[in-house]
Amino acid sequence: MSRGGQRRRRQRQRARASRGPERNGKPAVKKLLRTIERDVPTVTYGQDDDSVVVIIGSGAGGGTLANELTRNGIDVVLLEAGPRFTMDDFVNDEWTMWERFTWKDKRDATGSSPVARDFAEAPTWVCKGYGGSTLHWAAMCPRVQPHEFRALSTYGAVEGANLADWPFTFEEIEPWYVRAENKMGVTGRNGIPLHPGNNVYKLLALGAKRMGYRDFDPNPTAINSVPYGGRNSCDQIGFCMQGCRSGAKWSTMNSELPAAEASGRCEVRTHAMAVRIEHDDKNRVREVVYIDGAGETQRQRARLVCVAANAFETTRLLLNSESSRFPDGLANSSGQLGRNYMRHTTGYLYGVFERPVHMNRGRVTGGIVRDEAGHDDSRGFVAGYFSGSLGLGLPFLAAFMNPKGWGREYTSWIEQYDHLGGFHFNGEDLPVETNRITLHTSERDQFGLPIPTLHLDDHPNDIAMKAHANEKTRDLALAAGASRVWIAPPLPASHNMGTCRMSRDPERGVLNGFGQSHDLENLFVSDGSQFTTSMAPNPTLLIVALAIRQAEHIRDRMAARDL
Amino acid sequence: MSGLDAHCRATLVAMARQLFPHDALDDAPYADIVRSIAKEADAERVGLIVEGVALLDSAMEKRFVDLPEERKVAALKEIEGSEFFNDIRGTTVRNLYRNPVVWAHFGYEGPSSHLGGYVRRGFDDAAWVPEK
Repeated sequence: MSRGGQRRRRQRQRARASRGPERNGKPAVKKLLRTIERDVPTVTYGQDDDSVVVIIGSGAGGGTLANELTRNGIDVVLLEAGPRFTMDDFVNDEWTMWERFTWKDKRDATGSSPVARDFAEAPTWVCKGYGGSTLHWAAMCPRVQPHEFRALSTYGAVEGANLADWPFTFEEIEPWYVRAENKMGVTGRNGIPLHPGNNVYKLLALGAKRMGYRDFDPNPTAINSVPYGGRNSCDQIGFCMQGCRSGAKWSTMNSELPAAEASGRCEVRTHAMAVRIEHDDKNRVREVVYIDGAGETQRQRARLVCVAANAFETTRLLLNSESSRFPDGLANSSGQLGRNYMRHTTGYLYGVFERPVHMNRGRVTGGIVRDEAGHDDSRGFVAGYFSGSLGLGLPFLAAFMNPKGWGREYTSWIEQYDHLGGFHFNGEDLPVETNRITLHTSERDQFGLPIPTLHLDDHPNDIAMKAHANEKTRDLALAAGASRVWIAPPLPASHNMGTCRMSRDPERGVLNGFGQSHDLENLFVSDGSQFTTSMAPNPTLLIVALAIRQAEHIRDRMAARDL
Repeated sequence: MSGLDAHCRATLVAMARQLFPHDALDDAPYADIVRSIAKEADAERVGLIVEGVALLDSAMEKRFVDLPEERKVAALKEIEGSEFFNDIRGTTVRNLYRNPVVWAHFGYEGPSSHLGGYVRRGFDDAAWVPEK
């Protein structure tokens, strides 16, 4: 069979797999009808209106930016590639929500990283729709450690890594950081109590104590422990990553986006897939080309464009917007666009305990340990990692404990489901220039555009950190009483960072410290691809802080008529 | 209706069961998956399955369905990683463990928001975990 024939065959198989067979039994929860997706705009802007800010993407970066810009009196058109979602779309079922939310368009991955091996066609796990990946995030909000903004100065040069310091310090960003925590209702801050620990947390805390760790607690999350920000308190239902049917988790779907739309200054267009950004001859972007839900090509003029489509799509869009002036991709005079891709050094472990744990109960990430988060190169690697407790449901556990697993040994673990306690870790991985998103040379998507392809090799530092974290986390589970511990490989990445890195030096990065392109003054990037380094914490809190700060920068530059 | 004959379907049930064996389960949850595959499979997938079943049947001394467990495992190892193997493994893992009948055997409690979650129903009931 020809390669094209094989490809088409695989595509059809994937389409079948995503439909899945009919269910054998009825789920206990009433199946909710899909909300009729229709944008009911509070304001509309003409496509030739060049006074608007166009934001591409409605997740943590784009959704927050939309709200903050409208609060500052700035008109916004937001283009979201996926459908509109409401809480009525959320059900307590892992695969149903995976099918509903996930950005399933094909990617490609090469390289020696286990992720490239296990998930060659889906190396990332992000969402498509109103709310972006805040729909499925587990809402972990560990604080950035100040030294992590000075990675190169703190760790020193590391061979094979493209380490750099951020263009600002923690002290400079801290006011916005605190505002982000306040906006999102992060527990354990601003007088909001931490959640009580769930069962897996009890095991985490016991193991941590017995390991001699001191810095652990039930994990600051942007999930309400008490009603806050117009959202409910958490019912400990255990489906944080399926949209949060409690209505307790912060997402842009339930906070920033409705506020932006209610302002009468933001038109959200869903099913609007941005495919190209055009610029004029004065180093200014002028319009965004997108495909609407009917498959028609549309254009939107813009005073300013902010790209917040998650690193794969942000990078692909800029690469696909090449021109005679920017033959290697828009805003890529540095050659750094697409490079330095980071995803965090991660791992997942499951211990079998003597009595039922029911890890499905309560928040998915109900505990955190910070003792290994600092930089201490006596461990054999630079930077650090957080570890914590984890509760997956049976469907995801069986699929991801070993993505290629089968046989009696494998099912002997699955049969212990209610006695399993889950653990995970999340650490800084290093930027490497050859870890890179590029355009596929032959494969095209449904819009005729090259699909993104990732090359990923784990840096030796990542491998050393992962070995240490796996060993320590296993020891913690054993110390808590586990009779045996399964060490699972990493999942497709939800934390995608670094491909449009910030740098004070235009030669060494794509963006300045406000996420503004060095090449085109009215082009901004507002998602995790801005990150200079990946740091140990989950990225969303910092993305939100940067979006608030970016909105004020845009407001001030507009007021000064610089933009 | 697809072109999967009774022998192909029986082989797929035996294969699904050997990939994810659970003595506590009868054949029904595995057979449900195969019934869905048979119903949905287009000609190309039917071809892949027919080819795969033939390979499984010729891998050992007897037809796959007639082999004892350890020989079934050996036959599956022969074809591990093939397109057919990946298709059936992936379809089985994804659908077996989303079946509430299966959940009940392994203590997975499924949806909870309609019951008010676990905030008053034992999210922190593991009193057996010692303090230190």
